[in-house]
Amino acid sequence: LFLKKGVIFTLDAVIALLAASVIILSIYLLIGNLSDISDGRDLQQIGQDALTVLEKDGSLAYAIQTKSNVTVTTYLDELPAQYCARIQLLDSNQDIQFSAVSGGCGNADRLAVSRRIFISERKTYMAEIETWIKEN
Amino acid sequence: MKTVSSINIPSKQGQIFTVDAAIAVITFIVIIIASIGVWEYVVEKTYLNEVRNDLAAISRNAAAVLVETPGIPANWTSVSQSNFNSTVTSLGLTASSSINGQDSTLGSSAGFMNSNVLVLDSQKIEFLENFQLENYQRYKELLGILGPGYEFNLKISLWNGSAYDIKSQIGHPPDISSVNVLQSTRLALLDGNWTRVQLQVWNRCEGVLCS
Repeated sequence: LFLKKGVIFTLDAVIALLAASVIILSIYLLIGNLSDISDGRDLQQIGQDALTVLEKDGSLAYAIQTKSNVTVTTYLDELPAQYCARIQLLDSNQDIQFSAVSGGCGNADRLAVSRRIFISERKTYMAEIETWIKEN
Repeated sequence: MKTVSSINIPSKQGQIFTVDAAIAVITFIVIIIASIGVWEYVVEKTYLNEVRNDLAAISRNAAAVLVETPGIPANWTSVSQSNFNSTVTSLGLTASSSINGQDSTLGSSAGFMNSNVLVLDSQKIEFLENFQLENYQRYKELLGILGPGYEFNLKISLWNGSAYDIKSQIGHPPDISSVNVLQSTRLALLDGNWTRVQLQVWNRCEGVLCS
């Protein structure tokens, strides 16, 4: 037996340093990546607002009647700059009657979907809007 | 027969190697200094994040109250300026609803009763704008913008056929003393026109934020 009582081992210190580095790095990464959780909620809200406005000013009913997507597309194009949106109007058989999308938008990375029921010429339709953040 | 205790063991009890000790002490000091740095970083980052989350929540909720409710009382524009602070308990910009044929003058901020969500009343917007100098602090209280150094700026823009023009601006726009600016954008109708309501809630540089 060969005793070394009281000796401080360098290896212990190195392991401690490594462990501390890992913990510190983890904290930096975790704190640094705290993101704004409101993004999804804002997307949903913008979509709901857009459908409400377009239904209340008669644009959705007008689009169904005339099959023209000019007004709705104009509205989608003028959403706040960071937002993109696509609207579909479906009849009671879930057949797409109308579709419009805002210009200059790529594919969606993360979508929020909102729906609203409305009536045009005594028929029930469902408006569905998908909203997403425009990629830079 | 020999017992274990009688074995001759070369003992080095109490020895400390100087190099090992120096390395360990240096390592310990490095860890302590790094820990203090991380702690300060975490505290500052968490505080800033809390402030931002607070501003975001206030901005979102205040914008919702403005575009989804008529306020309490619903006809608050008819309240005299001298009674404004004591009478008006909620600010809302939507047109007053008619419920079963009766005007809801006593307020209908509950969503079920208000069919004018996102349909704004131009008189209410004009009132807010015309009396903002006298009532700015009260507006802040009614909208729940109560944090230290918190301010707001409300912009209402109307669609003119090709772009959105600013119709009204109420409050204080962010200036060079602003630290965080959080904005909620809501879409609405005003006199049948597409309208964009942008509420910025921001905070001035105060206390730890300025250091």
